[in-house]
Amino acid sequence: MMTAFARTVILYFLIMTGLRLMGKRQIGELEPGELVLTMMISDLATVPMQDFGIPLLAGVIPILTLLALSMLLSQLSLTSLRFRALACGTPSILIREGVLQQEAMRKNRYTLDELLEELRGQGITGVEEVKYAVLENSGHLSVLPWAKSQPPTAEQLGVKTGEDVTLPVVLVNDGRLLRRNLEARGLDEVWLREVLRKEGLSSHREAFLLTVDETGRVVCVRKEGEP
Amino acid sequence: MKKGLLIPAALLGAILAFCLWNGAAMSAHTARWRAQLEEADRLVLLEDWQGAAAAIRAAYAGWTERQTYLHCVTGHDAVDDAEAMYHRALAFAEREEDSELRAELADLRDQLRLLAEMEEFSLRNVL
Repeated sequence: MMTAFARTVILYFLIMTGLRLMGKRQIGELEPGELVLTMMISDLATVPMQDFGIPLLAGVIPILTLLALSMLLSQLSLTSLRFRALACGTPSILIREGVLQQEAMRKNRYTLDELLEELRGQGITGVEEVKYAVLENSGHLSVLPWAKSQPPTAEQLGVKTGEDVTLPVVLVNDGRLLRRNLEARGLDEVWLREVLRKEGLSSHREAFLLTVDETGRVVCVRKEGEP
Repeated sequence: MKKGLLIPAALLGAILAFCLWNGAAMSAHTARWRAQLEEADRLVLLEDWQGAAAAIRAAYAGWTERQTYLHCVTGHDAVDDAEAMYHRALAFAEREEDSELRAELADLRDQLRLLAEMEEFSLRNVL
């Protein structure tokens, strides 16, 4: 039993490290090659986890090899456009100016039913409503309707909008002060104490969340159960 | 070479080097143990039972020293089978059973050869 426990812990951390190195993309956004890689790694990990007759290295070496190859190919894709096209493919235009590109559909083995299903999923009922439909490398279909079919923006309507979107930075997370964020915002603890005093708090430990955005707007959520 | 390429290339190189070293190390170890067993076999033919038993014990001592390494790099079943063969060979040597001992030593040498072959980098293994 201890063997299973120890092997599971080792393989878990190995895979978590490997997946972290692969990048931040989520399963749904993986390209086919990356999805296959993830499935192979998880499958390789389960064998030595369950079968103690197989050395742990028999699982670790293929996993490390796959991760290294994946990292190597990713780096080569970054440096060479030709290699990227070869390894990842290129997006294909399936609808151009409202016209189906039948040759591109054949090449990608994309059926009319699949295309219409995708369009319906995006609220479009006819091919002629679409200016461009692009089959991305991930397999996702990007649909770009004609400009006349797209909702107008505030700018096009000449509507004045308020403050632009701001990005709040977390300064206190569950009672813990994030000094790095405070300094990055150009603020100090004197400013923080003043803010906390205004919010009726004596210490940052009493705050559940405290954020500040570029405009200096502070949002403070008091910890439940604190006086 | 760019830094981004260097890390995965170095990792792949390290894995390849380890695999090649492991194949060579396994061949060297098993060749040594097989030579000791062949010597034991020769002593059996000369009816030097004490010498044969000593040669098997020496081979077994070397084998035992490498148990952790062997369990790390090769299938446990194959290692356990060889371990059982060593025990049987020692028992036959102590009982001075000529034909059984020679057959067991031949099997053990074959098992050790198979262990080395499993780690060998060859077309037969790859395919």
